[in-house]
Amino acid sequence: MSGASPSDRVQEIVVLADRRRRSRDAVKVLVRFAPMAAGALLAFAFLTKIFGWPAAVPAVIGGALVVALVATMVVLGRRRPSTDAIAAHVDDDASLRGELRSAHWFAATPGRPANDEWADFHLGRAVSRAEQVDWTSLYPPVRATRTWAATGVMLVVAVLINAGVPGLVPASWTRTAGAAGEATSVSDELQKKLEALLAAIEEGRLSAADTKASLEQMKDMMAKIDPELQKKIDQLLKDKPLGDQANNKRMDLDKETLAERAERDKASSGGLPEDVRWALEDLASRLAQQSADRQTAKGNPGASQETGEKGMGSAQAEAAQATAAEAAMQMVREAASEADAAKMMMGGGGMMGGDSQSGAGGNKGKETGAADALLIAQALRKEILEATSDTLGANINKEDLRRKTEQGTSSLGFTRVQVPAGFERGRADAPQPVPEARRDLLLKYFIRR
Amino acid sequence: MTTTVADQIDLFRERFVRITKEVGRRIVGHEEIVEKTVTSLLAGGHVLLEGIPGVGKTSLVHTLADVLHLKFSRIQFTPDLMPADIVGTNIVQEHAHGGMFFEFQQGPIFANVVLADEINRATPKTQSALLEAMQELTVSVGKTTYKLEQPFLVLATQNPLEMEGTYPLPEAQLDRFFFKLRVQYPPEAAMHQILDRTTQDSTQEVTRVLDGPEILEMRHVARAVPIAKPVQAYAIRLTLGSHPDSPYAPPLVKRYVRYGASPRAAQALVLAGKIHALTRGNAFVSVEDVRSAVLPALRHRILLNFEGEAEQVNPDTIVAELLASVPTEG
Repeated sequence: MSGASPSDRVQEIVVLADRRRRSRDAVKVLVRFAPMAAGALLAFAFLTKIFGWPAAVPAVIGGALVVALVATMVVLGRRRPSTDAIAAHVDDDASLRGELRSAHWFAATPGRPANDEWADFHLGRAVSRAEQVDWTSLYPPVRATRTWAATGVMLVVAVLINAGVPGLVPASWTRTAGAAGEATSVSDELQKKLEALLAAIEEGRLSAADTKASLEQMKDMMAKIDPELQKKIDQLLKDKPLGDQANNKRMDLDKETLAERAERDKASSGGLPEDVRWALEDLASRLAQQSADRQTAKGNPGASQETGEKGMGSAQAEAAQATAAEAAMQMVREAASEADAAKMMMGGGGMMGGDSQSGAGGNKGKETGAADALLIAQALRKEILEATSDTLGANINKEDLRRKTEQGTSSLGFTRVQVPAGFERGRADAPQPVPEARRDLLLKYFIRR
Repeated sequence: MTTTVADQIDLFRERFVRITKEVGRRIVGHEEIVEKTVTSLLAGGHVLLEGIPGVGKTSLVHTLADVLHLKFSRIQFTPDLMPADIVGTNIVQEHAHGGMFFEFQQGPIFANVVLADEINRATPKTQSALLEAMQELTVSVGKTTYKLEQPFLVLATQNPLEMEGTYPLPEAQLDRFFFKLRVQYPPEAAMHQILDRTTQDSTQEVTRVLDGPEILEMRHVARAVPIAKPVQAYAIRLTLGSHPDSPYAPPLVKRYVRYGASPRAAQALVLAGKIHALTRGNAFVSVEDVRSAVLPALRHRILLNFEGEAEQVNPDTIVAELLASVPTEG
């Protein structure tokens, strides 16, 4: 370096010092973020095992983190041409009191007079002072042994977990993961077969013997995929009543349960409004009647419409009606339980009773009116909620009971002002006098004595 | 030039220290004021000293004149002082052989160090008599222009409290002062020294340590110091930042300042920075050197608006904010 001119030497010192500084900053960034990245990787390795994600997930994430860190290192540590700002930073770090910065400008500026002895002297002295600076101690290497060790341990554990080394993740955590892992090995064809089998059983297209055989087949298949599911199928095989009779029996049981519940609700509805209580009683009696009819019509699949009896094939429709009735009953109870609720018109037909009316809520003499009742109940409930939230004196100020969203609380008013016929100069007011406290300052400001 | 740069720097530094040390033998507790006054002398500028009566403003100027081997004159500014009382006038003389002629009688301005005591008591007309002398270093009387002897330094004093019957210096006059220094009340320890030196039957003698040519040589050395453009740019940014419409202007400037500092302020910053660098033994000007001169160089060049005057905003506060807000790197 002795052969280099002071100008070159100054620039070189600045560039090297800047590189040291930024490399150290880059390592600091690495020390700060590497443990976080390793921790994230470890967490992903755990999650992959627990949730049964593909093994490539932690590998991809780890790779992305490494690439990001390396890119940061490269960007922060790359060599770049020195500027005045860089020289100023380096000068400040080395406490050279602006000498290196100034010398750097003179060194980097072309067209300086060759015999400028002051600038030459300045450069020479700047080089000698800069060379006395111990740049290694000024930008010491970052030592973070524990951080590196922790990062390394986390990385190793993550890799081992990902590699499937046993004992690192508790077996109970990886239960689902194991099943899912095996499930991935089940072929698409097998899955389709299973789905078709399940659909056939649910729709009742199979005979009892076929259903049993199918369930056995399913059990064998599921044993390969999930032991838990296998247990469920075992239970299903034991409990599931086979054939349409069993289905009808379940329907009857449901009806009875619903009737019992209606009776129970009736007993517990002492605090309800009279019309609601009446609706509930009516609903309970109708459900009980239907249940009794069902019992007498067993073995009579061709029951006629004239006798009011239902055919066996309408079991699903009955189930839907029962669900709608239950929902309607629930809605009635909820609406009736609202504080200060207005009386509710039970305009629905069928089970809800009431006089025949026109419109959606009219009694059409059919039991399917329950769905309409549900819609009306919902609408009424909304109205009741909105009505109860408007309380005179609390959130509304006027007698007109408009919706809350329409309430206006503005206190602005308009005053009618008489417009003068014309400007009268003689009646113009004089400007405000200058306050005494500011008079001296004003005089001093505008009148120079 | 036979001497090396290092020798010149050392000599400059040694002379500077000698002046301040000698002045310090008589003036106690005002080291910074002395240093800045000498800086102004070496930069070829003039100084406005502001302070309450009795803090040693006039004594400082007297002492400086005593220390420097220079011609000294004092002008006590009063409301009835006329320009001719400062610059001189033509008087009628009689030849020995008969006949009359006009002869120019030099006024007290024809000196190296002029003390303009209580400068704000004279009328603006009289104050303006100093304008030409301070800037062009010449005096024009009638059709004749007279050159003033170098070095020429005007040290003006004014009292900030007693404003009755005074004439505030016009902006053009203020701008011609290189520095405006505020002479503060001396600290308690310095008061003991002042009393010891002034209440005993002995006067503190000072010796003349420098003469005119040496001062001119020091001025030459000071101007030779190179300054890097980024540092010079910082001085310019500071000057521009004192203008309310400048992008560098801090909020206080935008609110309270009507006009900011002139380019003379930037000249003062750079020259004072060079001298400050030399006194530290450096052959370059740093940002710190420039910053050391900002307060005395800018405080009298900032013209407050009505709101600033009404709220009695101290220009020093504005300069301090300027220093804090203007970036050192462009």
